Amino acid sequence: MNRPTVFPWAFPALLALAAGAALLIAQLPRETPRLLAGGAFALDGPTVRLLGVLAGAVLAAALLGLASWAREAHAYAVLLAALAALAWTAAAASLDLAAAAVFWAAGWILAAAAVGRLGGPEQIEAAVKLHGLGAAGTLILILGATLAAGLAGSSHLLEAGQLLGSLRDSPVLARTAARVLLVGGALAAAWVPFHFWAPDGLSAAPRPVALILAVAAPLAAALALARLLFAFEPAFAALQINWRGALFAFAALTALVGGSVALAQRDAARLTAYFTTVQCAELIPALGAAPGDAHLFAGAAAVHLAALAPVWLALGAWSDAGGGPTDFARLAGWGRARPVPALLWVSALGLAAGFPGGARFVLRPELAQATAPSLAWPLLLALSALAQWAVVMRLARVLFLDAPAAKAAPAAPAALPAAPRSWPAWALVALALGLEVWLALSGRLMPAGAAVQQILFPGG
Amino acid sequence: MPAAALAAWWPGSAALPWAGVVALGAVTALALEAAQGGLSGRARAARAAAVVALGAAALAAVWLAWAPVSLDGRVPLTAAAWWLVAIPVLVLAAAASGSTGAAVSARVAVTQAAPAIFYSFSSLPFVAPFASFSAGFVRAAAPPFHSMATEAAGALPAGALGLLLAVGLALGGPVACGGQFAGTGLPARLLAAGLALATGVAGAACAADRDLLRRLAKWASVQGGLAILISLLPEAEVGGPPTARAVAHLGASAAALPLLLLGLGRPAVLAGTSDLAVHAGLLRTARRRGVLALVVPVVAVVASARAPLALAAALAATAGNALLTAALAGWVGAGFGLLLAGYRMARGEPRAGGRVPPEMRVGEGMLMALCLAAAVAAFALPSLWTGVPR
Repeated sequence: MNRPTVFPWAFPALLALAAGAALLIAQLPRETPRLLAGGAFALDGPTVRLLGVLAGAVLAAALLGLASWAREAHAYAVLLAALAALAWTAAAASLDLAAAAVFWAAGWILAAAAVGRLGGPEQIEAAVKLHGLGAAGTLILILGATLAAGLAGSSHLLEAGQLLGSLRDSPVLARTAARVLLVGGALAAAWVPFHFWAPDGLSAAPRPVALILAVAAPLAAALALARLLFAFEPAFAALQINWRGALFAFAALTALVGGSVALAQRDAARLTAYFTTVQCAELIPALGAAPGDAHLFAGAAAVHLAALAPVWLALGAWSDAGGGPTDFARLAGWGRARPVPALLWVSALGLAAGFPGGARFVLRPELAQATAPSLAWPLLLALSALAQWAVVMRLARVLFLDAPAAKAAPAAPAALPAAPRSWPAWALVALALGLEVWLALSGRLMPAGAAVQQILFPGG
Repeated sequence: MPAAALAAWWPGSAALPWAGVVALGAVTALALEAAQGGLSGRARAARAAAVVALGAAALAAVWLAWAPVSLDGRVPLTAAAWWLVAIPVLVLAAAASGSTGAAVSARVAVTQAAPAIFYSFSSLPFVAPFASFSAGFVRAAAPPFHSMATEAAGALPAGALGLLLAVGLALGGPVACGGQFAGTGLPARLLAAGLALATGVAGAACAADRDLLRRLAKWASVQGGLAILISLLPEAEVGGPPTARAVAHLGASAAALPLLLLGLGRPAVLAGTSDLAVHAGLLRTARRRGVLALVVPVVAVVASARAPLALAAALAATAGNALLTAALAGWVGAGFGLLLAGYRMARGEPRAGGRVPPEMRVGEGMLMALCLAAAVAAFALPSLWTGVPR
């Protein structure tokens, strides 16, 4: 691990910037989380909440960089990732499809630059892949926008939605436009089978960058799709497009395929990247509830950050701050040598998977409630939880139970670097976990947490 | 804690027998752990702590299931207690099997969390019947999910397995038998048919298993399956309230598990193997143990006799139903498996090379007497097992 000879000034500056942004966002009017139906840009309640969540992600990423004593180059990478997140938020806030496509493209370019900023063959390859897939996603969005504009005469989301539904002469093209836009959103949200940017991009990126990308892209895409569904719902009904079925198919594929592939990984970074993909599936029920109402999206966005931030922080604390390997052959048995950090790592993953006390544990019943009276969604959420729990047990097995591979690493735990300066990063992980549990049980995220709190601390 | 707060949490007398079964299971598990040889003091303490944690999580779950608090808050807490069971199970499996059994340990911990995940949705009115039934079904490891129990039998030490099986019946059984699916027409009948067939197959295969702990796991799964099957049958066929009969059967079967573990499992622990091919001649080497190895399975089979009685009544009412006959055959097969295991351990010549269990001591005898009394009371007093969690 490269240690700085000069204290990196860029991280404190970035931290101050992120904290300032978070404070500024907190001052913005907290409107009812309903999607706005007018204007070119919608700085409505959901957008403000998304900005708040992203500011939180950038803050956590900057703190991780600082706690890891990372090089200044890392700070520039984090800055690029933060700008990508901002561009994607602009895309999600834009009601003009063409403008949204431009912002998406800008975001992908910045994200690719952030991933490849530090160099290295793996990073460059991931950056190229991210760039290519981002370009493909943008082209898909432009195609959708062009079709919608050509058919409806307007690229404005709400106008196009209204007009598309009244088209009786070219339903095939109208359906194609809607489906293409849906696919574009799915690519950005890392939903299977359009998830390919996530495993390579997230696992190769510096951990603070991965944290931001893992939170920003899926959330911005989910908000953009929420706007699309809100605007196009009458058109979907008129064109007989089963959009709820399509969302369910994406969720099922993402949870089951992503979960299965995560279990087959032999590297902690790739396992975490696939785990993130599975988590993205649980944003989908928040969209399928009632178009226009973004209450559940706001909760799901906060939970997405609360669940994933400790996971990426823990991976960063191990690999960036501690300089430890991530491949399972060398990781095997490490938990027995350093039980406290290993327990923190497994706890972060476990709480994200929905272990009691975590934010996702209180969110899932709310998501299921929103999809009433369908039994398919609760069943899928249960299977998703089971797949994620299996991933947690896989990591626990590698850390605590597996014996070090004799040929790959004769004495893996003993050969690990001493990592004397990784404790601030682990302290950050512990802080993030504490914050997640507090948020989950205080009832600030979901009513289920409040009900539990009322029982545990009656009158408190 | 103020009296009013305690009253708000008091689960009522219905929960006490279940809590007693879990507590007895935990004590038996600790007794079996104490008999485990070749362990360092630290390993012994860690395993005992994990057993205590498993028992504590199960007790909390029983307590919460009957606690008169609001459903919205109770369900997440109960699901949390169910999920917590997976952690000590992972620790115990890992401690018992080491790195050679790492994959099995992780698999067992994954399956133990599944019922909790299903249960966490049971506060939602439109999901509740499905969620709580499937959660209870999986928690009780009823066939065709008996592989959960048999896999745990391969990974866990004997005492912890006995506790886990008792916990499965105590937590999952009453929830699954809650009558949510009864009387809903074709789905309930189809479910009953599938369950009867699966129970029949699992029970019939029990006697063919060479491993004592796997036989015990299958026996417990079959009892869970039979109880759920009875709860799904119409009242007119069973000849009484199906839920009450099912829960009484569950209670008596769960109460027999600590006895089985002490009577059959402890000699296996002392001998260092659960392979029945190695066990023989207890009557010659440790007479009291040998006698108990013969008596204990008989008591357990008698304790589980409420199920065949209810099934026989249903068979008479339906003028012979092939699937119910299969379920009855499952009960016979599972019981036969236990009786044969006891007979094998008691009779014959001791094998050369196998460790010979020492004769029973006073403390163990007292615990055995307590387990015996609990099993007999659980069977003779069906009124103990009243009601199911809301």
